[in-house]
Amino acid sequence: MAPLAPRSGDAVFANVERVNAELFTLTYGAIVRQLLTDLEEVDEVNKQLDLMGYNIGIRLVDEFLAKSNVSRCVNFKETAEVIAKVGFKMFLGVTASVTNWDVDGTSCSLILEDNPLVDFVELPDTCQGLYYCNILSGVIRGALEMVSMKTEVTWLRDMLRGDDAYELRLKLLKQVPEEYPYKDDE
Amino acid sequence: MVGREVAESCIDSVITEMVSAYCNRFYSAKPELASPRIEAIGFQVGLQLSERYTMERPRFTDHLEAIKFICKDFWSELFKKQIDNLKTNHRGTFVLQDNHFRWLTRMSIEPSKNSSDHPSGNTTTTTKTKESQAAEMHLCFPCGIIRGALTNLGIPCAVSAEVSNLPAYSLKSGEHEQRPPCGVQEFWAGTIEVEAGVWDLGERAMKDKTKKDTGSPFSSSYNGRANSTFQKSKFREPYPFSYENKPSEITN
Repeated sequence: MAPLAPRSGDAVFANVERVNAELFTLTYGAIVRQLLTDLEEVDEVNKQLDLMGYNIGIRLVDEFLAKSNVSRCVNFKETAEVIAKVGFKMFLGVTASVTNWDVDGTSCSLILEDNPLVDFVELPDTCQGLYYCNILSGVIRGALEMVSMKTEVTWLRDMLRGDDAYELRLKLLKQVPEEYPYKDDE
Repeated sequence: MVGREVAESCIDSVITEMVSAYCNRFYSAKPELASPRIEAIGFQVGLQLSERYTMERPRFTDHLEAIKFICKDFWSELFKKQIDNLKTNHRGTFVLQDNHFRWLTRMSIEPSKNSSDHPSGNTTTTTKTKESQAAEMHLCFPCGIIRGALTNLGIPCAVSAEVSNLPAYSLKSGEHEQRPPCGVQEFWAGTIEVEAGVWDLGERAMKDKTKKDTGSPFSSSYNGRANSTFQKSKFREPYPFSYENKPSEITN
């Protein structure tokens, strides 16, 4: 049976169950707000958002692979493009762009100009240092780990902090080949 | 009105992870500290959502209209369907029934060894408690949403949920006419029961609810459970109040 052709981000997004983004935006905002109340320290909130994102990412990647029919990426460049064009689109309904590759091809920037997480959000002065969208970095990191890539995802630009876009720096640390739990011979 | 959309798995994942973080990471030893916080998150969401969804409407004339708004328009915005059944005892208690609650349909509880031994569908107390507990934690969030929405509409209330049969659940919400004239938010825990579930009609008789096939999704029947579960608020003595002369039928 011939493998199914990979679908574009738009096509996948059109085929998944969708909800009002407002519900999502408000829920996420309420969660961040409650985390700030309960954990008090901005660094701790950043950490927890990343961890929550990681836990989401390790599961979300299954849905991503199942619904998008992407074939195995040959290199990290392709991986980044797929995340930006298909991954972001099928979940958040927006696409990101990939730029600023380093010479090795192991590090790049994902730029998001439109971000449903931050609709109508303003950070008060008391939240200096908060990476409001830190859940996204965790999601990407978790998802990639499930496909054998250890990465580091950090924020370079954040519109809630006054920058003009959201820029995530995606760095491939290690490609861990899949280990089989049994010997393949015989 | 279709505004911006995101995939449903976004909201599902975020809610599930939030509940997990609060129950298993932050307050693993004290779940009673997790549930009010999960509910508070929902409250915030309900407050803001009802604000947005009622911006262009005139104020509701009475509590029943507000409850019906929750059952129809509000529920549709959130879950793409309306509440299936609404009951009231005309004394401030409402029962909202959703037969297929979206946010629980995708929940998977780790199967326990005992649950397969009972073909009648009855589970042992322990497995039921675990399942119920997990589902109840999740339900704190939509309970909070309802409470936030009703509060924004001027109706102080308490909403609680009860799991009877996964993925069945029931939400309870109490409703009070008068708000005490002070700054502190005081409310009574009454019983608006939202009973929901995917009933295994073949295997399990419905509880003592009379399900009338009236054709209308709203019936005025009430099975009198409210009285037994009325709880006092810790702030004040309960005082009797009654719904002003309302017709007993809640029609569309």
